[in-house]
Amino acid sequence: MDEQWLILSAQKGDLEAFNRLVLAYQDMVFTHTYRLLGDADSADDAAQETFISAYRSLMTFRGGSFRAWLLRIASNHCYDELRKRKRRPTTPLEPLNLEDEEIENVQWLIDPGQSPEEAATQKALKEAIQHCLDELPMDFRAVVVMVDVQGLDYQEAAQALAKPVGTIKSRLARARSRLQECLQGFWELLPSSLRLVGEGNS
Amino acid sequence: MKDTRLTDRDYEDICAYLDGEMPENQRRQFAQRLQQEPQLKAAYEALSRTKVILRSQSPLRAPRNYTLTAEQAAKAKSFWSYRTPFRPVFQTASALASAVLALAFVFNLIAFQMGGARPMMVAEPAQPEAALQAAAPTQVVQQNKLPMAPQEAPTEAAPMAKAAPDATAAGGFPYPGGGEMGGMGGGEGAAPSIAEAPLTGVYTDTLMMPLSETVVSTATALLEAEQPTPEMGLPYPATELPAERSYGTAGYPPPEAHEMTGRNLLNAFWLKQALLGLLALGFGGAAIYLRQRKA
Repeated sequence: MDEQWLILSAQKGDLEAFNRLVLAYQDMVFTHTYRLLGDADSADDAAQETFISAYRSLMTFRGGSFRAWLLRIASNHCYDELRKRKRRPTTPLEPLNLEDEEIENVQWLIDPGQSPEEAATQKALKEAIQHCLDELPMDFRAVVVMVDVQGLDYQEAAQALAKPVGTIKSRLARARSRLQECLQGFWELLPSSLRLVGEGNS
Repeated sequence: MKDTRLTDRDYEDICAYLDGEMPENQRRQFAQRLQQEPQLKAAYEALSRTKVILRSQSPLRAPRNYTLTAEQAAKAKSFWSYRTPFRPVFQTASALASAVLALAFVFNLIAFQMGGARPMMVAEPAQPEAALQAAAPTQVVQQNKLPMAPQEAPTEAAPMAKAAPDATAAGGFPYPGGGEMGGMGGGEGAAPSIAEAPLTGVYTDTLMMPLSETVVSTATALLEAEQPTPEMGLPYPATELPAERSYGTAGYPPPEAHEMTGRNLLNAFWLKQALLGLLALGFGGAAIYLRQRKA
């Protein structure tokens, strides 16, 4: 169904139309909040808050990229959450397995279609990427997640972050450089195809 | 590792080239540079690999549906859901009210300490005779200031000066402002009258307020300034005052003067402070409540 029509219907108060938009974008929003926050529970809360805020302020949407608008709301919730964490640092309680060891990642993040070896590699790589993303300043992280993970173009990212395109370019370049430095320590985790891409080009 | 021979602009160009965000003419030029500059090419390949790694990550699946129920939708549109813009307003208002409250408190404390020094000058409790004696010199001063007036004129023209003798004569308790009343009648004689006049305990706190003296002295000065000369043959304005406005009998306190006393001002201060305190508490409570609701 046409996105514009759904947006217009939702703006007129059609909750069903809004929920269709939610279903279309909820994975993207959750991925975004997870990549920014690095914690599934907080990301879940932030995603829910994002859609509630979006419904509340739907009338302020004046056109343009709807996903950029949604990601802007999601980013703002993540900023709030990170500020809250700074004020009140907490130690997350990880679930324990049968040996009383912490389960660092929730199981639903792993694709059930993968073999155990692939799943382990993928899990390690995800953790490595998330670790490197967490090392970035929040402003850089938001840009690199929007462009490289969500696939937004510079204009959309500028709209989502309310920054000029020049700022997006600058932040993206710096963020990628830092990520590259960080990921150098995890090359052994990369799938062979990705390793070949790098080696073949050099 | 970042190549130090490359500038930030070079890295931005690499990213723009990688993302297809470079105009066509610049793109051709940059492709030529890539062929010619090995360090630029190495940086390009490293960043390209980083981008591929990030892109290779499949989007995560949401752990649940975030569709809104009718209740959630109604709640989202309710008044209190728009709390985010109100919270900073309440926080600021609370902080401002607290600051003004603190300033008012300090100011009041200073004013009270300055006013509180006056009663230390009063040594003895008031006696009716002493009050009469204290009022007498003031009356003389009043007469001296109006030498052309008839003997009765000061009494009629400035009925305040008559208050102390009348009060004692009527058997009421002496108006402590024997000094204060003398001040009304004698202008600059106010300060000595206060210093010398004994006071009753009842009105001590009235004298503690320096503002009341100031007001009374100012009123006296104005009254004197408006005194017509006897040569004009006109009656003194005070003689036209209605009888109830001469405060000679026990029917004190004088209404206008008493309304301006420091006690009333003090009460007003406390009222303002209490109001500011309530405002600070109210706004602060609202801000905390909204914050907890949001959390």
